[in-house]
Amino acid sequence: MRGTHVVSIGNRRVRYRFNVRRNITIVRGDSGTGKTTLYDLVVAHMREGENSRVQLSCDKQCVALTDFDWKHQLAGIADSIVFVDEGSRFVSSEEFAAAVLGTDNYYVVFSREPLHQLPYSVDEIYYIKTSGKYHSLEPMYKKRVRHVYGVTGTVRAAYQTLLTEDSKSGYEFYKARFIGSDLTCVSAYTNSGIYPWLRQHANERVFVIADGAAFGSEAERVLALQERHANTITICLPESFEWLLLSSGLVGGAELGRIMRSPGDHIESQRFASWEQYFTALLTRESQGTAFAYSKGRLASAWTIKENADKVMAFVRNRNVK
Amino acid sequence: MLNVQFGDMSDAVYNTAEYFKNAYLPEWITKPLSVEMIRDVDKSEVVGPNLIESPVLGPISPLQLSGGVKTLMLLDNDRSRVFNISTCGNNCAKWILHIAEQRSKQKRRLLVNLRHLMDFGEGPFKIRVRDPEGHSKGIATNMDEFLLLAGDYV
Repeated sequence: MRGTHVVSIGNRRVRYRFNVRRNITIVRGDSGTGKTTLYDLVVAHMREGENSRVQLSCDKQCVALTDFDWKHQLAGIADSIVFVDEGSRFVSSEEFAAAVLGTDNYYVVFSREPLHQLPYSVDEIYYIKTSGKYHSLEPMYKKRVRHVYGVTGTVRAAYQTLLTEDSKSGYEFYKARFIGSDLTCVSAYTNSGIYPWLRQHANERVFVIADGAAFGSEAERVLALQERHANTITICLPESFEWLLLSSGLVGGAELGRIMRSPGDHIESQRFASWEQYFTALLTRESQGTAFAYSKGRLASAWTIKENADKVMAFVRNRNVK
Repeated sequence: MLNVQFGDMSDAVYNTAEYFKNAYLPEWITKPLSVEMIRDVDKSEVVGPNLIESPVLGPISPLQLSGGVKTLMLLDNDRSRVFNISTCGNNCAKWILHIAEQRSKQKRRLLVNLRHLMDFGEGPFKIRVRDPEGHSKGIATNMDEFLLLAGDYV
């Protein structure tokens, strides 16, 4: 499945309307906001259709994963939006992640657990906002200027450290960019390495760059730490390092511009577990045979030339990180 | 003091709504603490042991209360099991602390299972953080301390 799908569902008393943009959407937030009511509406419509008196409008089939034998049920579902309730213990299992990531469905999961095994975006975590009988999904984490998330703080002096989740091309790029400056580049190796590193260095002035496309499971604890150290820690979450390189305009032509304006319309969820994977494949393809030829393991030197790197850094620049 | 064990607890009740459906007693609903919790979290008024008035859904049964409120009532009324409080939003946190405090006055402890980083407010509070094996990692008295003790397990 690809693209954005509008779901409108309700009965005489309540009405929900929201967009589902990627393969995994997480809904959490306060109790009593209507998560179970939404799930129950999907269940009722799935069982009885229009005879349930639930009105559902969506260009894709909406189904609820209800069976304890979820694997069997999932095997029979395709090209659908699948709703998973918070009482489903299997949702945090590796087995569930493996089953989900190979399908062409989109999933709306009601869960407060971080779900580290699922590569979901920081932009696809929502809470339910209510206005009378009308309910919508609002982003849990708001993006501020140049992909900065979290509480607004005042970092009063230059950053001391740039922490990246990448240990390969991304890390090479930033290391080359800031060599000889007063900014030290450090790799956390994975996105799950960022929280423990920050905890150890919470009083240093740190600028974190990580891939927002797969940062969902880390967002809660990292942004909670940032909230408590807003004057020293800044969290920057562009889609991915490859997205930054593609956005620079240094590779690709007019078609790439169209893709970058609405990537969701081009990303087939069955093939790409997260947008980060898609942007890696796209960059590899678009840069092939040029001086910017990209691979995860090694960065072409053309990217590190000052004029070129300037174009990449324009999307994330912040104080001395530029 | 509230005892919070993180991670997968095989003997904890994960699906608290399902457990509540089969375990609750009508008199739980009309207890003063339940009435207050339902009013605060679900913005609904208890009419009787089998009827609640919701501003959105109209008259509802106790089974249509939020998962968070159901879990709170289980914590208050059923001491036989450990419950997963990741079914509760942050708006339930003060009530979890309140129930733990009441339990402490009775020289009993409240142990819960948590799988995410709940915001317990600015404190002060007393929460003993336990790792997934049940070992104590220390006592947090505010969210800064709680985050540092619990962050590795979520």
